[in-house]
Amino acid sequence: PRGGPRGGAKVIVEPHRFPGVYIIRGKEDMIGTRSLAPGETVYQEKKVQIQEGEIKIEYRVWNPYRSKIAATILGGVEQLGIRPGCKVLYLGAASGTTVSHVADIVGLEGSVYAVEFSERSGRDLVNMAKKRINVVPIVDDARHPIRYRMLVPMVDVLFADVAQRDQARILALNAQHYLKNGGRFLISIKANCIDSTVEPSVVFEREIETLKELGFVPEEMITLEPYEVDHAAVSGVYRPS
Amino acid sequence: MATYYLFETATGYSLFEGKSIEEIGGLLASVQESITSLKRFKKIVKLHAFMPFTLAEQALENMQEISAGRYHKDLKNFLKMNMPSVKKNKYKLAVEDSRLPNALNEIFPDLCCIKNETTNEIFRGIRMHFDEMIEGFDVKNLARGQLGLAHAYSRSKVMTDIKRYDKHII
Repeated sequence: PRGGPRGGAKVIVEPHRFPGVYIIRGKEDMIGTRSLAPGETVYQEKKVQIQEGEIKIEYRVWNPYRSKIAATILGGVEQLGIRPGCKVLYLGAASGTTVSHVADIVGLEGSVYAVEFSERSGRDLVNMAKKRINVVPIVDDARHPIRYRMLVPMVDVLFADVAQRDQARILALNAQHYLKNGGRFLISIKANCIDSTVEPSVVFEREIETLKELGFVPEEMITLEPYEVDHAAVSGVYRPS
Repeated sequence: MATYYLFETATGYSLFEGKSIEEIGGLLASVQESITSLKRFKKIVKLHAFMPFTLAEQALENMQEISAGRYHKDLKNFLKMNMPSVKKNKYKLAVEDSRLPNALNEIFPDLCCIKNETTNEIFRGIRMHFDEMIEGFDVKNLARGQLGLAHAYSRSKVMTDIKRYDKHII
C-alpha cells in the first residue's frame, strides 16, 4: 500500500526518544532518519522534506518490514546503543539499506564499519558508501574478523544480522577484537536459521544462554512481529565494568 | 624477556614493545582493566617503531597479503629493520593472526611468535589507544586511511575483473 505522505500533505517531524531517529507524523506515523545525502534514495524509500526557515531538511522513511533495526525500534527496545557520534561495526550489511539509516543516525562525527561477504551485495554497499563518507565498506567474511583488522578500530556498538547457525560465535569473535569494554551489542536472530526443529522461543532462550557464555550480558529481547515472523532481536552489554 | 607486538593498520605497520607475557600473563584481569586507561596501558606497552605507507596502492597491496595471512615485502623489511637480532636477544613477537607465524618463519626461522588470550587483550588495548600512542602522526589519519583503504580493498573484491566495463558487445 502506498500510505504515508503525499504531495502537499501536512507532515510533522518530531524527534524520537533515540537521538538521530525521528517520528514522521502524517496520515500514518512512521519513523525515519535525517538524510546525510539529500536528494538521493538508497532503495526507493520515501523522502519527506521539511522547510525550516531557509533550509530544507530531508528525512528518509525507515521501513520496519525491510529493516530489523527499524522493527526493533518500533518493537519498543529500551536501549538502542546506536546514537550520534558513535562507531558501529555492522555485520551482514547486505546492500547497505539499513546501513544507510544507521549512517544517518551516527552522523558525520560517527562511522559505520559495514561488513558484507557477498560480492553481489557488496557492490551495492560500496556504491552506497560513495555517497556517505561515514560508511566504511568492507567486503569480507565476518567469520574471520582478523582479515579486516587493518580497517576497523574499537567500536561502541556491534550489530549482527548474519542469519548463520553459529552467529553468536561470529558476534563474539568480532567483539573480542573490536568491541569496547562496556560497548553495546544488538543481534537479530532468525529462529529457523539456527534450529528449525524446535519452537522459536526455545531457540531464542538457547541463543541468550550462548551469548552469556561468550561474555555478553543480554538485557532485553524484542520479538520482531508483525514485521518479521519468528525473529527476535537481543540487545545488551559486552564486558560491563 | 621482552615481547614485541606487530600491529597492522591502514596507515602502516607498527611494532610495540611490552613486558614479557610471562610477567603479565598472570595478571590478565588487571590487563583487561588497564586497557581502558591510557596512562596505565602505557606502562605495559610503548611504541617501538612505525612505518607509514606512502601510497594508497602500497596500503592495498599490504592489506591483500595481510588479509590472506601472508606477508608483503614491506612487512619483511619493516621487521628486519626494527626487530633486534633473534640470536642475540631472547624475545617473542606477538601477532593477531595465527596464520602469520608460519609465513614469518619462512624468513625468520628462529623467530618465536606468540598469540594467546593475554596478547589478544594487549591488542585490544593497542587498538583502543593507537591514536594517542602513535604521537606525532595526525590523529585523523587513521580513520581517513581506513576509509580510503576499505573502498580500495572492497572494490578490488567486487570487481575482480576490472576490465568488465570496457568490454564491448560485438
